[in-house]
Amino acid sequence: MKLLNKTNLYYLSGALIIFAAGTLVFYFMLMKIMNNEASEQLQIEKDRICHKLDALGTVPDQFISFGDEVQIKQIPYTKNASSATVPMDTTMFSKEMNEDLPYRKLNFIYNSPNTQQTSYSITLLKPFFESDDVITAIVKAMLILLALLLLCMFEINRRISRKLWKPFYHALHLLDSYNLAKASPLTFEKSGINEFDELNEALAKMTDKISGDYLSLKDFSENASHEIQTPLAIMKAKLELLMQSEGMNEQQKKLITEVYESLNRLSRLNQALVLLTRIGNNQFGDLKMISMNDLLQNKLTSFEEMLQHKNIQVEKDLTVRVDGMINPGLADILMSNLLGNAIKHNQKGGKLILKTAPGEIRLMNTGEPLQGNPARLFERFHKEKPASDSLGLGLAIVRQICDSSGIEIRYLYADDLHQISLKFTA
Amino acid sequence: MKILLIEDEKSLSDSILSYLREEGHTCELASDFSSAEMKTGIYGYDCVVVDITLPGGSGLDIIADLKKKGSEAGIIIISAKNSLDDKVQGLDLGADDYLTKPFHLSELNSRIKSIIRRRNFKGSNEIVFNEIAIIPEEMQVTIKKKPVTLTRKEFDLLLFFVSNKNRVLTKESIAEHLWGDDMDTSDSFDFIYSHIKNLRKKLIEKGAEDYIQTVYGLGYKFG
Repeated sequence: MKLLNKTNLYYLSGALIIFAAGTLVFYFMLMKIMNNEASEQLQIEKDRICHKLDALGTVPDQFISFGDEVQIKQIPYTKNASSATVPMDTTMFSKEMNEDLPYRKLNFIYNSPNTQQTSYSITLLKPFFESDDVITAIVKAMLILLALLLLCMFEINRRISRKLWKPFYHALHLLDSYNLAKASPLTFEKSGINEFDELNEALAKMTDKISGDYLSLKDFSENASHEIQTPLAIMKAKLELLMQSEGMNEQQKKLITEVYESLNRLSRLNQALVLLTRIGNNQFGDLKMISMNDLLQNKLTSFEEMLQHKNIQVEKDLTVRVDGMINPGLADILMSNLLGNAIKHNQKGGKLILKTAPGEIRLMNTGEPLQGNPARLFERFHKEKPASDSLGLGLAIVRQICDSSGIEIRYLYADDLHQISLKFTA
Repeated sequence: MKILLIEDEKSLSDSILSYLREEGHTCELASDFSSAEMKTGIYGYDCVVVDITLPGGSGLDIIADLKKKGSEAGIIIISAKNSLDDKVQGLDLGADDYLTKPFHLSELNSRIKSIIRRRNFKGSNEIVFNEIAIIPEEMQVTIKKKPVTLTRKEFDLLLFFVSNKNRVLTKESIAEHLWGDDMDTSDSFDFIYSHIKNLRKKLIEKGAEDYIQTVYGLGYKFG
């Protein structure tokens, strides 16, 4: 969710709570004011009528009251006339509206000081507001207000975010396109907003640090390989010279051979690990569009004798063109390892099937089914036969290349075939 | 042949020199940048074997310098830095070949010979070993003037053997020479065995002596 939407959501919920509370408060205050006002009006009318009665001494004949809002009755003299009673609420049925309408009623008995014979029973009525109408009106007004407020707020926020957050999105874009291997330092624009400038400064510092660490790591991995390869080269050269010397007995030759074999293994291991590190560090940035069909064909040619040697039948259908954006060196290693693997783990007189589909290459080969978990096939140092003299890094390198080049690799064992598919997404 | 080895690691350069001198080459050593610069400046060589990381400078500069002077020497880079950049840069500068440490001495030897052969185009290109004659450029082999048909790998194998005659060649060095890095499987040794068997058979059939000897435990020897 976008930050803007998130803040808007918070604003909206806050505004809703405040407006709901406001509506309630508003309602009660309004009702109280109207209540007081109605009671006051009734009191004023009462005083007016009492004065009139005092002046006239009797109820006028032509007293007309519309809607029965003022009723005056002469009653026999009542001693305890109450001159100030509390108004009360009541309802009266309205024919016009066909419903009960609320009224405020003041009922009192008045003894005029001029006459001692009669008292007046007076009822004053005032139509009162319907509370649900009032609430409806208030809620409507509030909702319109709320809507206007939110609309304003959204629009202002949108404008602010577009303007104020610009440096943020710019920085984000820079970070997104940042490539460690290219090692160009990030330069942020000055935004004039302290928070963003601080953020950008921190980011610049961090990326500088990362880039520095990366470079020293890269140096280290290259230097490590260099430093290890040199003594290995010396050992190898010395052993080869030693082998040339005459007069060794078989025991000595055997020892030398064993040392020599281990040495070769160590040097291959070192090279493979360094290669893995370098792919992991994205040090093969030079991408090119490569025809996988041609590459596969070339590799097949270089493995031809090996295939003949193991009497492996090759079935290939490379009619669909597959191109991949990949470093040429890595593409070469990828195909070599995959084909080499398909031959190595094949049986004599087995099959190797190569197929292309749009954006996809499939290699299938016969061979013993996997003993272990196929998910572990691409792990480093994973070997089917622990005693085998393979390094167990070939497929790890394959996977590393695929991961770094945006190729999706899948392994499947079906129809007595090991099937590896490469999907070129980029 | 006059060869200059530019290598700072003494133990390694000793071994290389010893191997190359036994081949009958005249070898000189420069163990740092300034002496390498001096020697290439004064003397002419048929082949320069140069390490990239040197005390005092980069081997790449020496290659550039040699090429600027119009030197005819063949150049082989030997580097522990298996980085593609160095390789590409070196070959762009005009180096003829690139070997990554650790390499087999026999491999370096055969590459030096191949470069020198290519440089001496004016002279005879035929490599003669007793009754066997090889013309590398045409991939032709004759025994007692009669042509022998060999496969590509058998031919490479024979050339490798002849380039390193009387030397013990390990299975590993043969495998690497024939297949480069593509082959790191145990299958390849088995494969080499059958190639050698076929080559031996073909040579003997055409009347050559049996030159390929198995050196117990170590590998093979030609001669």
